[in-house]
Amino acid sequence: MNFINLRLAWRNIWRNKRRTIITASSIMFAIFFALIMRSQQLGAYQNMTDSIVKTYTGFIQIHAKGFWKDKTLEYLFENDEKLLNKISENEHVTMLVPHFESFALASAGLQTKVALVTGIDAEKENQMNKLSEKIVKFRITKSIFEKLSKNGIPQNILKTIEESRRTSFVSEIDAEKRLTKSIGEEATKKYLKQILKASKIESNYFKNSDKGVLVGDRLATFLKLQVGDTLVLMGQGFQGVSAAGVFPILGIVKIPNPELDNQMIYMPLQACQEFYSAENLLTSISINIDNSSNMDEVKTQISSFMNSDKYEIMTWKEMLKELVQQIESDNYSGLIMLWILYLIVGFGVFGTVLMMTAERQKEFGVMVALGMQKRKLVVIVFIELLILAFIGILAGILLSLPIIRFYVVNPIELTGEMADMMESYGMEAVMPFAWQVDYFVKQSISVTFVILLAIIYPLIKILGINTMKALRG
Amino acid sequence: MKVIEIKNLHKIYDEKTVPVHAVDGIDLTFEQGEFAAIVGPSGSGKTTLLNMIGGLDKPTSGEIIIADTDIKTLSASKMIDFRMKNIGFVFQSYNLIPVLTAGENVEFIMHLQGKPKEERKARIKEMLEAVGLGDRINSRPNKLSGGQQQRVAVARALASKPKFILADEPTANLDSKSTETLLEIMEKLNREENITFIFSTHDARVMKKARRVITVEDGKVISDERK
Repeated sequence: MNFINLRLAWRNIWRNKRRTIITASSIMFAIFFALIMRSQQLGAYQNMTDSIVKTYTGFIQIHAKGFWKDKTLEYLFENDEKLLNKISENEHVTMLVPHFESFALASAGLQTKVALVTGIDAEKENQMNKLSEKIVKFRITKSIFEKLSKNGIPQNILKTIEESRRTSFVSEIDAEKRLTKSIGEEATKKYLKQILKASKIESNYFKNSDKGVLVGDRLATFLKLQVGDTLVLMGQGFQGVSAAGVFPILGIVKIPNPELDNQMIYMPLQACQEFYSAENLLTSISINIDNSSNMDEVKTQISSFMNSDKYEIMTWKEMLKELVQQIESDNYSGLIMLWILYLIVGFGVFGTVLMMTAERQKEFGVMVALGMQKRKLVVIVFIELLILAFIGILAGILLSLPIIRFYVVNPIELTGEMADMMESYGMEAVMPFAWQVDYFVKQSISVTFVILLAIIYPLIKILGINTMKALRG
Repeated sequence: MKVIEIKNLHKIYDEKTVPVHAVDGIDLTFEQGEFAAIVGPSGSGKTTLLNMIGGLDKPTSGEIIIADTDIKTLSASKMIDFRMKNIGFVFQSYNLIPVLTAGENVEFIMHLQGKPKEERKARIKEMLEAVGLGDRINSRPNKLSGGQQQRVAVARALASKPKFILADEPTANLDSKSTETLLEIMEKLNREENITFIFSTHDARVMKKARRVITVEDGKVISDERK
C-alpha cells in the first residue's frame, strides 16, 4: 500500500468532517449498545450458571442409573475409591465432590418445613463453592432489631434495613458494603459498630467428624433457629428405614440462590449417610472441570470406562434443561436485537457511502483519466471506510469499557418485583456484567462484517465507473 | 517525428436510433513539438476528437496510433496504463484532487508510475517552478486561484513526461490575465522543452498563440492551417 493512498484515504475521511463524525458515531453507538447489552446478557447467564452450576450441581454429575428421573434413595451407588481415582486422572477434571442428598422434615419449636438435607465432604465442598466463606457471622433477627431500637438507632433506619432484606452478613466488610447500599454511607458509618456488636453470632463451618448441621439463612429465619439450637430431622432412609435425628446447629450459611437458601441443610457426609442408614453410599458425585468448553469431551471420556447399566453421567445442561432453554431463548432474542441494531447501522453506512461515491464521481473520473486503475481507487475508498469503521468501533469500545468494568465490579443489585422474579427463578437478585475479551472481538468483527456488506455495492459502482460520464460530473 | 496518427476516424452516437456522426472520417497527424489548437463551434466534435485521442472514448471505426500502438485495440485496464505513461491531461475546470496539496497533485501520476521518491521530489520542484508556483508547493487547491490551479494542472500533466498534452478548453474558466500567464508558460515549455500541446478551444487568444489551427465542423476537418 503506497503512502499516498493512505494519505488520500485519511484526508478524504476528513474532507466532510460532519458526515464522518455522524457515520463514526452511528458505528460507535452500535458497538456501545451491543457491548453493553451483550455483556449484561452474558453476565446474567454467567450469574445463572455460577449460582447454580458451579456452586451446586457441578459441570458433570454421576448418579446411579435412574436417579435423576425419580430422585429417591432407591438409586444409590457405592463411594468407590478406585472409580474416583480413575475419574481424577482425567486432565480436565479439577475436583470430585461426593453428595448424599435427600429430603427430610425439619422441625424446630412449632415450625416445620421440608428441607433438602445434603451430606457433604466438608473440605471438598469448601473447595468447590467456598462454603466456609458463606457462614453468617452477623445476623439481625427480630429480637436484635428490637434491641437496636432500644439502643437509639432511629426506626426509619431499622425499617429500611429490614425492608432491604440485607440482614445477614458474612464479614464486617460485607456488612459495611450491604448496609451502605441500604441506609447510605453516613448512617452506616454512624451505626455500623453498634449493629455489628449486637448482631454477632458464633457461627462456624463444620469438620467431617462433626455431628451437627449448617442451615440456610432463610430456612433458619423461617424455623426461628439460632446457632446452638437443636434441629429435629425426620424422613425415610435407605430401603424404607425410618430416619430421625436431633442435630445441633453449628452454623448458618448464606446461600446466594434463595431457593436453596430456603431449604438447605448441610451435614457432614458420614453423619448424613448414618442418618439415612446408607453407609458409604452416595446419590451423586459432582465433577468440576478446568473449562466449560471441555465438558462434553470429559463426559465422553468418563463414560467410556463406566458401566452404563449401573451409572448415569449427566452434564449440567442435561440436568437443568429448563435453565438451558431459558438461556437459549433469551440469547436468541438478544441476538435478534443486536442484528436489528447492526442492520440499522449497515443501512446508515450504506447510505453514507453511496452519497460519498456519488459526490466524488468527477474526482474518480479524473483519477482514472490520469492513469489510476479502478481497482486501486476501490482500495483507497475501501481503506477510507475501514479507517472510519475502526474509529467508530474503537470509540464504541472505549466508551463502553469503563461502564462495563464498573458493573463487573459493582453488579446492579435488583430490588422490588424484579428481585422477587429473579429469586423465584432461583437466582441471586443481582445483574452482573460479563468481562470477556471474546465478545469485544466478536462485536467488532460483526460490525465490521456488516459495514463490509454495506460497502460492497458502492465499491462495485466505482469499479464500473464510466470515465467520460464521471468527468462530465 | 510523428506523435499521433489518426486515420479515417469515426464516432457515431446512438447508432441504433438516430445516428449522430460526432466525428466523421478525420485523418490527422501530429508531430513532436507541435502547439496545435482544434477549434470549431459547440457540437462540432472537437471535444469528442480530443477524448478519443486521450483514450477516454472509443472510436466507432478508424485508427489512432500513438507510439506505434493503435489505442482502439487496448483493453480498458491497459488503456488506463497507456494514458498514465503517454498522455498528459489539462481539463477545463482544473480537476485537481482537493485533498492533496499542489505538490502532491503533481506527484500523483509519478506515484502511479512508481517513480522513486527522490526523483519525484526533484520533479515536483522543477515543474511547479516552471509554472511559476514554486512557493505554493504545500497549498491545497482551495487556497489557489483558478489560474494558479490550472497552472498546477499543467505541472501535473507535465510531471509524468508524457508524449503529448491534451488540454480541453484550458482557459475557459480563467480571466484574461491568468489566461495570458498560462499560455505564456505553455508556449515556453513547448518552445524550450519541445513538448507537444494539443488544445480544443473557443478562445481567440489560444488560437492566436497556436502554431497550427485545425478547424472542425460537423465532425469533419474543414481547415488545417500552420503558421
